[in-house]
Amino acid sequence: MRFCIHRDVLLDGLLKTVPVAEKKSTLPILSHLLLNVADSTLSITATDLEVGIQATYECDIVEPGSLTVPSRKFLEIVRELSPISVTVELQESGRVRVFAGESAFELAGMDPDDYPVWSALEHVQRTSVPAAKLANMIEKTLFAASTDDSRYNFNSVLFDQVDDKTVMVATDGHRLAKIEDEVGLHLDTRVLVPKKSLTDVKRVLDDVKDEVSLGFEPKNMVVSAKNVTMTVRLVDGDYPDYNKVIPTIAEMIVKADRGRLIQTIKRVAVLTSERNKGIFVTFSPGKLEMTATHPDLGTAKDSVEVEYDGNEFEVIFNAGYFLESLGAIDSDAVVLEYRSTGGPLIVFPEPRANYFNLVMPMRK
Amino acid sequence: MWCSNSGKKTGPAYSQRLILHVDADAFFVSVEQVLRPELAGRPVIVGGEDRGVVSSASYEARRFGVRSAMPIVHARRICPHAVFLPPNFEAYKAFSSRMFAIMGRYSPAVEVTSIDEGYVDLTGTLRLHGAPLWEVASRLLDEIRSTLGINASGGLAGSKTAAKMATNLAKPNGLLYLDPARSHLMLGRLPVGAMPGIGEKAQHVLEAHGISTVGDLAAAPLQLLRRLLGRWGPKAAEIASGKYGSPVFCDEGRAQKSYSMERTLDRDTTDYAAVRGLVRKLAEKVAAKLRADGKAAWTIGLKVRYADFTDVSRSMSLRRATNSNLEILACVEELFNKTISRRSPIRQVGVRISGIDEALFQDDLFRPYSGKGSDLDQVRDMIRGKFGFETVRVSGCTASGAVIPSPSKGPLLGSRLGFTCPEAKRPRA
Repeated sequence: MRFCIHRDVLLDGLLKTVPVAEKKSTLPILSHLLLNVADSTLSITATDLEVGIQATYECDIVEPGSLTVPSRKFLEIVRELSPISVTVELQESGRVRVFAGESAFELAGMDPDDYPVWSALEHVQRTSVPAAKLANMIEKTLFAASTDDSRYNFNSVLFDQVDDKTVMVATDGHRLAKIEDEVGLHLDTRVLVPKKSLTDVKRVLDDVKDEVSLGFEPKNMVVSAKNVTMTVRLVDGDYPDYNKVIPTIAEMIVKADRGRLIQTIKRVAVLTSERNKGIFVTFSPGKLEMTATHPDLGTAKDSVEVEYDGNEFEVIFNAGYFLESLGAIDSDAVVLEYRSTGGPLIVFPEPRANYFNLVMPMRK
Repeated sequence: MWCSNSGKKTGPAYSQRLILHVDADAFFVSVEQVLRPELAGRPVIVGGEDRGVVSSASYEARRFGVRSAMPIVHARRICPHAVFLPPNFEAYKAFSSRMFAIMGRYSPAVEVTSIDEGYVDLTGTLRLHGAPLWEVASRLLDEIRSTLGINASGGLAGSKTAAKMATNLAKPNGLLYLDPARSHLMLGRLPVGAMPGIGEKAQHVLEAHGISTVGDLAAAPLQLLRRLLGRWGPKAAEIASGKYGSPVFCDEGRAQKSYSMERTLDRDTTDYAAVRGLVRKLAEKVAAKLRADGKAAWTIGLKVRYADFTDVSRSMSLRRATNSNLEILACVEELFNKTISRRSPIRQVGVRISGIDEALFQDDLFRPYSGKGSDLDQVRDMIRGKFGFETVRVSGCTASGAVIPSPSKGPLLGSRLGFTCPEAKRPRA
């Protein structure tokens, strides 16, 4: 097997696929890329068994066939090469030779027949969806998904359908993010997409200007855009009824400048305990006062002007969660809503948009 | 007491780093002797009950070979006429805080390393005191003696390690000043085990490679030390050569790092049910202290000392901090089951809770907080505070939180509520 391709084209393919390849896998071949050439097309495949990605490019084929290369080293090499034509060749010894101009490398490949079979799920019906809208929906929710394996169904983002709108929800139990938008999707059932896989999907979406096509089958989601196709294994699990935990009536409504609120939290958060990150927030007319205490180092205090004329009350928040929820808001102003009986704080963009998130307080 | 240096008020003396290490002599015993003057001059030993170890021995008792950490039984054998006293920590704590208050009057930088020893950073206080620092150190020790009536020894040197080594040379009731520029001449000749941080094991390893004095350690090749002692090796050499000095950490306002309790059993035993009961009791007591201070912990640990003095310690870190009785009990239970694997008699057990944090708990959207557990803890702590620990008992439980009948506990009916009344306790089979 031997083919030639321009370094810039190859690099584009690697930047899209290498992040999917498993970094530390019990299955060594998953840290490799599968390169396959046939019909003047190079296809680069990577998978961690949760997500599979394939990117295809035109190339000059001298001899068709397939090979595998260690993904990260191959990317490092191609990144450093001059922008000229690169030749990749599988030698009789089984080693992969990469050369461009005077530069030459030999890499140890593995048997391409051992590479997991990847299916593009051609039979699945797909819908065209605006890539930017989908990317925005992922961005607004992904941060709230859990990384804690003890509640594995929370390690994913929920895709739901309400009338004509697609709803995406993510939560780790401590906070929740929700967005809804008309993207032309019509889901028959709720779908759970793993957080890690969705990060990979987002990376591909960010590169697409117009539309991507999206398809679902019971266990997989397929995303294709231009020359890239991804299949994502879905999570088989329950998801709690998120509507139940979204408060409907607000008693205290606070309007604040998002940037200044973030700055204030960041300053006070310097002296929170590293592990529980608790900051005490006192809502009082015209301002939010914040204090934090580090058990060994000392205390911090600051306040920020806000629009609020209700009763004074104190809530404790994890500064990290509070900052992330404000960071997921696009607008310059935010509205915070809270009920005196407890429950989550709601963070809305101001003016209101199609998304918001919740943050549960801490308790003494 | 002896000292060098003329104490000139010029030159490097103004800016030279000088640290005083203060260590009260036979602290617990000294306090007892102050409180009970009739004990003065007699061999006095403070320690646990018969099965415990010596916490502190007066110099009169030490003459008979009594040492700290020696089993009390052994001490009784070699010094039968000594006065044996149970520890009175309240009194020791009171004396300790008065001692550190005196130290704090000489410099704001005071580091408390244990109940009876600590460091004072006297750097830059020459002008304040208007006297050479060795004289200031001497005044400080005198003030402890005259105010508290206990003796304290001191070491004044250019680093914490050198100061501590100097104190050990000056004991009892002495002060040793080592001029930082020349202290290595003296400290270098000490056996390597005299340096803090070099334990018995490290000493053996070093001596086997021809490193027998502190001076040898300072001059040893770093690669060899790294091989022998790991990462600590090169640092130990740096400390031995006097080039490294860690700062004096002021303890004011610093939070307690861990909560722990240990108990020696009345006799070595393989009755694991009884040991388990004791472990649970210790865990509950430590948990109550944690709650009383408004703290929570991330790490729960258990130590078991077998009859042959081998120690096995095990700990587990939690996903979130806790101060709940039920959760802490479930942890020690799990640790206990993992630790007790061999059929050897047990001598001592201890529970240590660390990773101390403020008691703030993250609420969950999908698991509403009921408050039941913490209310129960609060009520139980209150009853125990008023009527004694044994008035309320907690049933046995597994790590998953399921309630199971426990051999030493009350009936299951009460245990579902989390506690049982002693009156309702069934006689043990």
